[in-house]
Amino acid sequence: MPTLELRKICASYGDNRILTDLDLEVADGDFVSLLGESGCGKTTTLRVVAGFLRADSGGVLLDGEDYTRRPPNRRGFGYVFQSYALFPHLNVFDNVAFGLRQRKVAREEVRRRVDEMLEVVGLAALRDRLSKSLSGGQKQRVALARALVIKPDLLLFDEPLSNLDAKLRVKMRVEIRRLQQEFKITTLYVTHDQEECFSISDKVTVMNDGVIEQFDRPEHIFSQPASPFVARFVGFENFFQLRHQGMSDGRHQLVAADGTKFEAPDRQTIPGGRLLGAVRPEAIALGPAARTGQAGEIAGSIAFRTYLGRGYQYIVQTALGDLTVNGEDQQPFATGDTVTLRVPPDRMVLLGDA
Amino acid sequence: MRYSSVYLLCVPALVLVGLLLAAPLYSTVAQTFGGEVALFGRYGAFFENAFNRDVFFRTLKIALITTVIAAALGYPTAYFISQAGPKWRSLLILCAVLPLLTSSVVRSFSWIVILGRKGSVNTLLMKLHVIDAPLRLLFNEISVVIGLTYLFLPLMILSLVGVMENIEDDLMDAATSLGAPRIKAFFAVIVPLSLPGLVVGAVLVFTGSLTSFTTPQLLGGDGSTVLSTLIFRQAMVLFDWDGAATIATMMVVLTLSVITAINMAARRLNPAA
Repeated sequence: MPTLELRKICASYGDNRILTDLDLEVADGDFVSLLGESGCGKTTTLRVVAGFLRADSGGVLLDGEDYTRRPPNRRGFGYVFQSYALFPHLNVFDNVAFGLRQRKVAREEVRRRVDEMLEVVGLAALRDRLSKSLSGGQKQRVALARALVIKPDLLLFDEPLSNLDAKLRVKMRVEIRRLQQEFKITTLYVTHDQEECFSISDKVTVMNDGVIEQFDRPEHIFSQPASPFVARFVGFENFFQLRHQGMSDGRHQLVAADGTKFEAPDRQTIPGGRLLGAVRPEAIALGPAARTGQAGEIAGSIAFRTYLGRGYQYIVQTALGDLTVNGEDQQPFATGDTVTLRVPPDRMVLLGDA
Repeated sequence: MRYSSVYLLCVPALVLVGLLLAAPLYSTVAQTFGGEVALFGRYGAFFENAFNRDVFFRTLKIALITTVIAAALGYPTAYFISQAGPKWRSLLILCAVLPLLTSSVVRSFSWIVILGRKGSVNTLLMKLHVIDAPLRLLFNEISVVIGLTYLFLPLMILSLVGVMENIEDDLMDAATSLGAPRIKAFFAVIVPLSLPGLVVGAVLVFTGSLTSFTTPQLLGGDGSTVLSTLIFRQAMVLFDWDGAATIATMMVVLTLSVITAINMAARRLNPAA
């Protein structure tokens, strides 16, 4: 199974530069997601890989072979479109058979392989139906079968589940992962849905404004974001400007502009330049006003409260700015209450502030 | 009750159509069977005349050739327009429609200037020494086909653009990613899906060319009489109203049969449409 490599890809639509010097390597058999908000260049990256869009510069390599100028019909990649892009004038069987017929596969073998694939995606009963008479989930399965049946070297997905309802989305993503592992196909998957992306990927690429912010395992991205952008993207909402004051007790000692002290675990390396501490709303402990003088203590007052179902979320006014904190269900604080916030040392992530 | 009363809204239009279309059509057809002749006698008489036979098949030939040329010219043009950006697309459609804004008399007449003995085409060819003597381009079947093609091409383009615009862009990409070179993908995807537009365009161009009067009258010579100009002669010169009605009825039947044939062919090519 092949390895995909993107080298210094620059790409644009008209005068609009979308990708700048993008490097990416997808290892053999891996499931890699491109995650980001709309307009971040993730679909553009996918289109460059597929050959639908010619890169301005840079290279696309598959197992070291140069694919940069190869037309899409000679790449042998399976592409699953957001719109499914099924041929509306063909029935399910002919849609799935399309790629095999282009490859001049013998009639009998086309029939065998298409029927086999329809069996795999559970659509055997619908083989003679026109594709436009199918439901969203069924269309998605046809699109998947059509891409898989050609035994692609690489499987490309462009937001394949975004047109399905929530329940079906979860079911289909499990299905996609199962098929990918069953056929062991190197896969590049574009989505803006974090949960979907984290649940099925071996590795995740977080993209922002045409560059890759972080390329890592989902667990790492979630717990150790590499940049303020990624931190915000995966749910860190509180950020402190900090200065590093050395190590003690095996922890980084940090101080904010107003003198508040913080600690952070030493497994993190300290980026050069200005430093930013990031904490999730659910990581901060909220209690009645009481100072003990320990590191990570911040005094504040409740400015705003919203009910989340599992608990309350507070906006707390402090000397370090407004912080977002999730509190427990019982005995909520009221607006105006003075409180003390505690940031546990092992919940603070240190980032370089660009 | 509430729903059935909605049909009342159609009554004014139905009355109008009934009075202005159905009734005259009926009286025209009825006229061809009236009088002291055998059933279909007038039709038999029409076809016994060699000149009439020529006119009949010439009309059919001119209309078919015009339709084929309009499709051949209009299809790539329409695809180009449908692929252009939204701003360019409206501009190009406007350009395609612009000729429709002038009267067909003016548009046919301009071809006399272009195709005449001392017209632009002959002048150019003479200056380039391609020919020594002016070509006879006017007042024959060729000039009629040219005039009709020019007249009806916009209808073909418009019908096709309307359909092609709605073909999803992803379909071409899907076909190429599955291994079809672009040209093959075009014939496997765009052609069958644009067939409904081609059918509408072909029907419009064919019926238009078959029934057109001005263009064959102005650009056609004595040797290129068509059914519509023949009707005019029967009715207004020879005052043979029965004969004129017979020809008119044949034109209606001819049009309907060709439309049916086009539709049947299209359904075979794209059962989903």
